[in-house]
Amino acid sequence: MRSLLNILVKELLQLRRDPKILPILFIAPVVQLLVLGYAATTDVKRVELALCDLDRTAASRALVEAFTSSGYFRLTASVDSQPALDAQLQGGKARLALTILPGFGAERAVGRPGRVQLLTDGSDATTGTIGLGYAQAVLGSVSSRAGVRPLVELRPLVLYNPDLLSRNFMVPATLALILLVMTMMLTAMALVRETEIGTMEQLLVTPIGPGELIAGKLLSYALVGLVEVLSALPIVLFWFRVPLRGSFLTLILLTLPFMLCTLGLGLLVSTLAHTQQQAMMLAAFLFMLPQIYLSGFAFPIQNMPQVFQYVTYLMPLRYYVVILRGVFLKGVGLDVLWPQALALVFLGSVILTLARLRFRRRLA
Amino acid sequence: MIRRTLAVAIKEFLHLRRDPRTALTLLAMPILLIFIFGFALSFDVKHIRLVLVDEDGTRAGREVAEAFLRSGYFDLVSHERDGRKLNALFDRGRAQAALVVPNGYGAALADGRPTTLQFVLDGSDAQMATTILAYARQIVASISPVVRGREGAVLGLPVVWYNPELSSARFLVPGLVAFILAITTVIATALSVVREKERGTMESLRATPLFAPELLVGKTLPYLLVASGSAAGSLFLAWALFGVPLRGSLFWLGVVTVLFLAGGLGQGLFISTLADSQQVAFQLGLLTTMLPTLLLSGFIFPISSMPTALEWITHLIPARYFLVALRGIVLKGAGIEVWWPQAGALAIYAVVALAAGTLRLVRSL
Repeated sequence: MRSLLNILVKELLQLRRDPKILPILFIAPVVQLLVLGYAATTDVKRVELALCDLDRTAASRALVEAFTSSGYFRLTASVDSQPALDAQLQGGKARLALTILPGFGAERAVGRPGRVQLLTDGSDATTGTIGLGYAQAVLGSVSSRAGVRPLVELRPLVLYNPDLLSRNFMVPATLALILLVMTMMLTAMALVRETEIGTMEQLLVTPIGPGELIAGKLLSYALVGLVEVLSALPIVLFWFRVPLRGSFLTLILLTLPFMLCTLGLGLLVSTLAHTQQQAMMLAAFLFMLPQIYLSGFAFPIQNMPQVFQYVTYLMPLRYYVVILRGVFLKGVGLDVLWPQALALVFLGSVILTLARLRFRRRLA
Repeated sequence: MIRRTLAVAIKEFLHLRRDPRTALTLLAMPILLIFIFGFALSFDVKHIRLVLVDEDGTRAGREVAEAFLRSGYFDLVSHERDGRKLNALFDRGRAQAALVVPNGYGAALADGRPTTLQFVLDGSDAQMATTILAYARQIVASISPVVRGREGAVLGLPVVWYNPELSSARFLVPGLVAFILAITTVIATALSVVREKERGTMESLRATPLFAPELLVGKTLPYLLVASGSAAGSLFLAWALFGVPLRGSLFWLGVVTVLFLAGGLGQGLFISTLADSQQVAFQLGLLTTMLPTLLLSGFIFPISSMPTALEWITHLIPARYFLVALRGIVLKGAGIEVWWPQAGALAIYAVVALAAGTLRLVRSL
């Protein structure tokens, strides 16, 4: 127990002595949070719209007015021929092009539907889809203002995130990303550094057993990870105003099994790499990127082909993201999240055992 | 001169060959990412877990439910008589959406009175929720009888260009190419120079009759080749596996790509002068390429929805310009008259980055 504590103190001292690592530890998470919180938004606010009114009647002008005053669109150009409109789309100046076809006003005046064409730039599929949705909404409201309305009205009730802010979805999950980067990378680098410099040998000839050595090192980085989460939390809660509906204690409690996994992965990486460069490449490209993409962090799992869906079960991030979003947005506790917690504990033990075995073999 | 440059290039190649882990990462990463992006990732929403709460129990109610299932977007996970269990289903993530057919729905429709359907949905994933809601509105609009008004309705005929199925693979793969290129060129170049500094072999190289330009060109050439190779490979895979077409000119694609690569090499050289250890070089490289290219270039997240301050910052990200030109050439078949401003920005980036990188490096030598 004493030697464990000694390792812990040594490790923290070492962190303090490296002047370049401290800023990375505390500034990087803040930068990540701010950038992800603001940049990783898929809410399309104003879609660039180009329009072409071939009808030129009072009705068509009213429709143009409805589009420009809706707040969904930014008018980039108003042209008077179809080729000019196509050029807008091809140059990427507009994402959506509206053509009001001739006869629009005349048809509507006699009660028949007036037609408009909506051209979307599909090369940016996200903006394209959402822009089309906005346009249909404007058309619907114009129709209903003229008294044309469907008998059945759909009344939506949005749970957990009534304003549909994608920041509420992304920001809590960023905590997971920070933990993954920091604890996994730091552990891997710290261990490989000792091997590279040769101090690992020295540590092993001390009366400290390899188990205690690993435990001490992992514990110190677990501590760093917890401090990181605690220091990022105020930004999440007070800057981005993401609601924490569940209990703070549940959040911390369920963070521990996730750290078990990330620390284990760090240890595993350190046994696979000979140099710090390799450790970083391995950690970043083989353990981090796939986890980010295949965990439901940004891309929904249900859309993936079955094979990839199976792969996601191996990703610790998958479970922790559900936990974070559950605790923050849904306010659920252990009674709902126990399967995720269990999965993390299981994965963590497997990873740690594997890493531990490899670690011993490397020493022998 | 050419012979000596080549000699340095060959030495660099040998280094790459001797470090199979790094070489493998450089080669395997692009392929892995292309596979993941092409096959696994999409923002298209399908298999939405729907709960049906039918309080009405009439034929009209069943018809609505059928219309939802027929659309192909929804999977029915549970059929309820009332909404008591709804909260638990949503909390556990078993349900993403619930359609509530209220009591009296069928009767109202039969009498021609207006009525409502309630649609409950999990909003935590805002983007998915928006899409789901749009699907639901479309379905309801398609089955609802319409009241005639004073004037005719307005019908929108949607046409999607360049990517008619709105497939995410087509949209993401060009971005992925930019992403891979940015990372490999900047990081590999920076590391290769810093490694020599770290081991002290830079001094020995200086003692040889090599000129600084020969050394620089020789050192960067192999990475330029590897990066161009992985760019070409990625585009080929994207075409072979996912049918991402090359609609524009191959020549201009090459020109724009080389501009972007040259800038990346310059940036890598510049970073190598700032960093004393590979660790710092790697982190600087990652910080200046991976995060900005992933988040601020329009690769995944639309630039138009960012706050204004962040939108300004995106103008400093070279990948932003490369991406517009790349998507323009590959997907839209656009010519230089369309994306010359982007090509110009890339040329400026290449010149500035290369000049700054070489000047600083030559001075430090």
